[in-house]
Amino acid sequence: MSLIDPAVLDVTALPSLPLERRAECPNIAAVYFVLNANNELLYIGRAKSLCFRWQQHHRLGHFLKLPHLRIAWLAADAQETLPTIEKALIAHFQPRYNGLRVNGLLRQTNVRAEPELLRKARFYLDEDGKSINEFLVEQLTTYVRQREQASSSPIKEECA
Amino acid sequence: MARPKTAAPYQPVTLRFPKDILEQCRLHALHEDRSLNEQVMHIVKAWLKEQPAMRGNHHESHRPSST
Repeated sequence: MSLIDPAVLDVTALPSLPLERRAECPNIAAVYFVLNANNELLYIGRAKSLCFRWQQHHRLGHFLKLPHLRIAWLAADAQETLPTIEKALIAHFQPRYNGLRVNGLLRQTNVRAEPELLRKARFYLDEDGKSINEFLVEQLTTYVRQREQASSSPIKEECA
Repeated sequence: MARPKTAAPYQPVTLRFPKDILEQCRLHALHEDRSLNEQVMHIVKAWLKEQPAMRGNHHESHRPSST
């Protein structure tokens, strides 16, 4: 892997697994790639043990909210080469989630809800073992996806 | 004599959203002439309406009352 030229690396041709099957990742040292359904490269990282890394990845919660992600990997001959290779690949591909702080992916906002509605929602959500926040993020994500599919592209803010 | 306290009509809820979802949701809601807050409540109301049917009749006896 140390001789890899990022310019000729076809990430889509690498071995990969859907994110949901991350437990099946091999126990190898590797540079890994997170790709979406359009084969857009979202993130590059490195791991001494790919399977262990993906059991507790610091961005897992966020990635699980995105649909149809895949983890691809490039096995490393030697662990010592991982940082150099990762750095070169990030510099070349500039994935949009590299360099973003985890907390930077989330935004806090307040909504004002009728207490009665919240009480009713909590009744059902307690049964599902979900928090109001988890529920609303799920619902709003579905809402956005449905609207995007209906208009076949995300809405862009119009400039005045 | 102190005035009796009345229940606050609305309860603030702090939510943590992925930024991209929040922004897209706000924009889609605006296109439907709703604020983000109104959109959230609209979604919750629609979801609540579906729940008794979704969860079957055994739920009728445990349904949250509308007091």
